[in-house]
Amino acid sequence: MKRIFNINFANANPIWLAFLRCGICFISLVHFISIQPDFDTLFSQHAIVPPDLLHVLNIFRYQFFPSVYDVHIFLHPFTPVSFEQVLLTIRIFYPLSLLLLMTGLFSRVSAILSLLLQLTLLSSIDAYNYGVDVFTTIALFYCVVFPVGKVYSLQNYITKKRPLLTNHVKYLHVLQAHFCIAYFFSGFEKLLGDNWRNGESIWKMMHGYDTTNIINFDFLYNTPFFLIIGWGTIMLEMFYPLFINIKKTRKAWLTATIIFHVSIALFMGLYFFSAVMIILNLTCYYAPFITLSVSQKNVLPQKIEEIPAATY
Amino acid sequence: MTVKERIFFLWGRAHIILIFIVCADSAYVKYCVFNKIPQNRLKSAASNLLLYNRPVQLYGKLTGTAAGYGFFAPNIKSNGLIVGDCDGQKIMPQFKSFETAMRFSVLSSTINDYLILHSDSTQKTSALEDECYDKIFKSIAVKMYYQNKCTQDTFYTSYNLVIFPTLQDYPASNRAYTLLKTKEVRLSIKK
Repeated sequence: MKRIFNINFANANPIWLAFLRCGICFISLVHFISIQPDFDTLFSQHAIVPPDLLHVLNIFRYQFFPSVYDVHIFLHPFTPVSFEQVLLTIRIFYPLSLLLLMTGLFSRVSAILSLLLQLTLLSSIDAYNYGVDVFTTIALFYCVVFPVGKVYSLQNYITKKRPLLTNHVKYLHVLQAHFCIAYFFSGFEKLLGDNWRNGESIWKMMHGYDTTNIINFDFLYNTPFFLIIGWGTIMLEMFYPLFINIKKTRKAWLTATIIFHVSIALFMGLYFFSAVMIILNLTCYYAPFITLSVSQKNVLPQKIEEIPAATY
Repeated sequence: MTVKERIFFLWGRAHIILIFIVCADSAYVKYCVFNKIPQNRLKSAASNLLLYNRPVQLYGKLTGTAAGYGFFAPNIKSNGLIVGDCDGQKIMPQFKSFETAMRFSVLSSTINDYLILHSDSTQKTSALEDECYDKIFKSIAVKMYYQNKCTQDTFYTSYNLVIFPTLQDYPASNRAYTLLKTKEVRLSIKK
């Protein structure tokens, strides 16, 4: 058994912590910038669905996290701040906190701030949310819990410190376990229906209203193409926990998963969802296995065993 | 093992177990809803007690573990589409970015899901929820009316499902998109 799952995590590269921090912040920033032209249409009092209505809708959707509207209502008795001022404050501080986190300045505080502001914004438009938002929340939450600021951070550079990093593999295992469960159940739930098993889902996905069909595969309607892609998706997701953790199949499964997410981006238009999933996959199963040169290793945090016994 | 490490050890295991339970519960609920079979009472009571309480839901919201990850499962649903009739022309809400249009299509699908649930006599929705959705319909209609600079006194907005022929129907030369109307909202504008 040990020989099959012979992935050596003892020498795992802690660079994955920086990869997670920078990757998720960069994608979140670009994602946030992408909605700026329509920001008022989504969030302001003149939005297509006003915030007070979305607030009531949140109650029916069992949505408990405070929205911008809730923050405004909470602050109003203390200070005569308008809804638009609260919204503007969050609109400024969210990308700022992401920038701080990305550079690795005050990582823990900026990660907490990024997570809370992201959730506040998402709660304000809960009915508009989709997969990318959940996975961004997951990644930002792990940036709060994991010591992501200890690797390649501006703070280390300024203070010229090589901070002490205790066993980082335990953090990696939590992240990996989370994604293995998520992928398994994503595949398993697809197996419960009938149209993933007969290819109908892939066909439907390629003919959805908001899909961005770059290549038209309609001419393959009388071939098993859609059936194979449907079953392939189920198999890829359900067996992800197994094959991604076997040394010999890890690279192949990771490549297949990345191709799968690139296809989602190209055929369904879910660019940001795909980008977040690719970043998280690379964080879990690529970055920890990168080998560094000696000079690169010198900027990484010290492991306990590297410290001379006299300094204990 | 230090106290910090011990806390992480315990939290890590509890966190992963919670993710597993939430995903398993989501799969079971989706299976029952999809096959229209009643859920096991004992299981429902247990998940209500364990998962659907405020602290666990709040923790789930903070960590992204409040719901399962079975996107587009068990079956892919048809997209929802909101169409208005402006001076005889079909119009849709206009957005400057692709991402916002994508998010709005999520809202359209959410509303259509509600309308389909509402049309099912066995499912109960509260009067307050109905009123909330009614106001949302009107708000979207008003925005579309002014966004497109419409001039008529009565404005109609329809909520539709976008239907494309199935893989089986496609060879029978039926190859066009059709809209299945789930609701129509009439808005009278007094000038």
